Amino acid sequence: MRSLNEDAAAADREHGIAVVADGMGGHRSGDVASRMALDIVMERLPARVRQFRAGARRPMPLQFAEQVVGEANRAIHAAALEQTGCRGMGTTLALALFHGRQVALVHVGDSRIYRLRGGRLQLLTRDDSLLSDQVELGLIAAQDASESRNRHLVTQALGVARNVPAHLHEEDVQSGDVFLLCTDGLSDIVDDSDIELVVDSLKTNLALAASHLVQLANDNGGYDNITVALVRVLEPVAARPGWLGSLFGWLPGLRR
Amino acid sequence: MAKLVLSLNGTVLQQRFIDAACISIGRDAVNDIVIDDAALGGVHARIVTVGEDNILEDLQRAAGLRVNGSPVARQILHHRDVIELGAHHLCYLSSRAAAEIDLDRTMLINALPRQGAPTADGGVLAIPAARTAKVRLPEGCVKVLAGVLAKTPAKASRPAVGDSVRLDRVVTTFGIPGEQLVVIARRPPGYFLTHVEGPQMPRINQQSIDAAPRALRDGDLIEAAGYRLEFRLAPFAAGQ
Repeated sequence: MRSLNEDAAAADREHGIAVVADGMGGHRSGDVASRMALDIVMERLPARVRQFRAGARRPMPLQFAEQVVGEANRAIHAAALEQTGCRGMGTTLALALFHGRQVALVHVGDSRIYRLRGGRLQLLTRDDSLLSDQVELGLIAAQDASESRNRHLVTQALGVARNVPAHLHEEDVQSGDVFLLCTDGLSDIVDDSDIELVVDSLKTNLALAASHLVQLANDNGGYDNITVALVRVLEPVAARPGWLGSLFGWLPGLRR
Repeated sequence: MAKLVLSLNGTVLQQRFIDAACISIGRDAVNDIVIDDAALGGVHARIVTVGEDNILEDLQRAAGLRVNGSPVARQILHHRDVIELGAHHLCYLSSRAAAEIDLDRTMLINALPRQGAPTADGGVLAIPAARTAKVRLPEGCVKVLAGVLAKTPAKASRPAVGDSVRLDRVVTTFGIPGEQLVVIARRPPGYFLTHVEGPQMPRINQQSIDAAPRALRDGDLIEAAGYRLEFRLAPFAAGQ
């Protein structure tokens, strides 16, 4: 498996962090943007988590996760202005930060976060995409969206402006929950019902579940980066670090 | 850029590129495409462009609008669609078929303006996956020759001895999650058996397999997760 795209996902079990990113921009600058986003998140977020666990009540995880994503945005934006060949680069980002019985979700662009609970897969994020706008505004019906040619058009990405609004969301966490973070390379081409079946059937072996999802996208004619990260919650107990079960089985996808 | 070709009884009357965000069609002179046809309304229909999509909208519900013979209120146009306007035909030609667009190149575009606040928090709209070229999948099943899971109460979903289980989903598992489990994946090249978890590795034709997925052949005998299964591949797919 080639790893041009290995950079597109990261996870930190100790600090309860999982993140995927999908870069855009010419001359491989999209890879620069997604790499920067992941590096900054994985470098800076753990320290903030430790401060929080040490008793700092403010800011709360959702707030400091947003701050770190904002820092990543400004760094990518500055690099895009400075470096030739990087102009206009940007990246989507989907971040889950698990704390106690909660998970803080931050996302920008059309990478998604789903939760499997009781065998049912639920989408927790709303895509920043022209297609979502079209459906929400009633320009096309949801069931006709599969006909649209606007799949590759995102309305928001990290790095494209000095300030980029991120979607912020808190969800509760129960033992047995499986969280899936993925780029549009998966969700654009594999039906939610098949994603649900694979994640539910193989949730006890996350690495295998991840490889089956990537394979399914490739079998369906996958045309984009396919990146998935999976997190299974064994027992959410706030007081006990390391409660996160086999956090993560991410696998890089392949460019066709 | 997509193009519209207006014709009457096979004779081309007019051509026009879709070079504006909104192209109106009707009998009145104010329209972008004026069609002198008594069956049409003053402003009969329009084509709105959003991103890469050209969307046809009926503005005269009473009269009705048909595309390729089927009534349409609002629809994304596809290459070679024929919009029926009275006796006239308006053919939509797009040199960029959906499949040819370089979907790998994610690009940024301005969001559509919203009227008022976004819908109240709650349901997230499910945008379905893109319609892909139909993937051809094999047809197979397994016959349950023996099951030795006597110690656990049988669940309704668990196959019993003598059952034939169709492998018509992308994955089918056998065994007990958390204890001993195998999966059979259905893919265009065929069916593949993989060990999911548990101390015992599956056997195919009395040979233990390792962690890698193993392609299944018609007639293979599978021993896995307390089951003995015979794999059958439908003959019309076997030659693939």
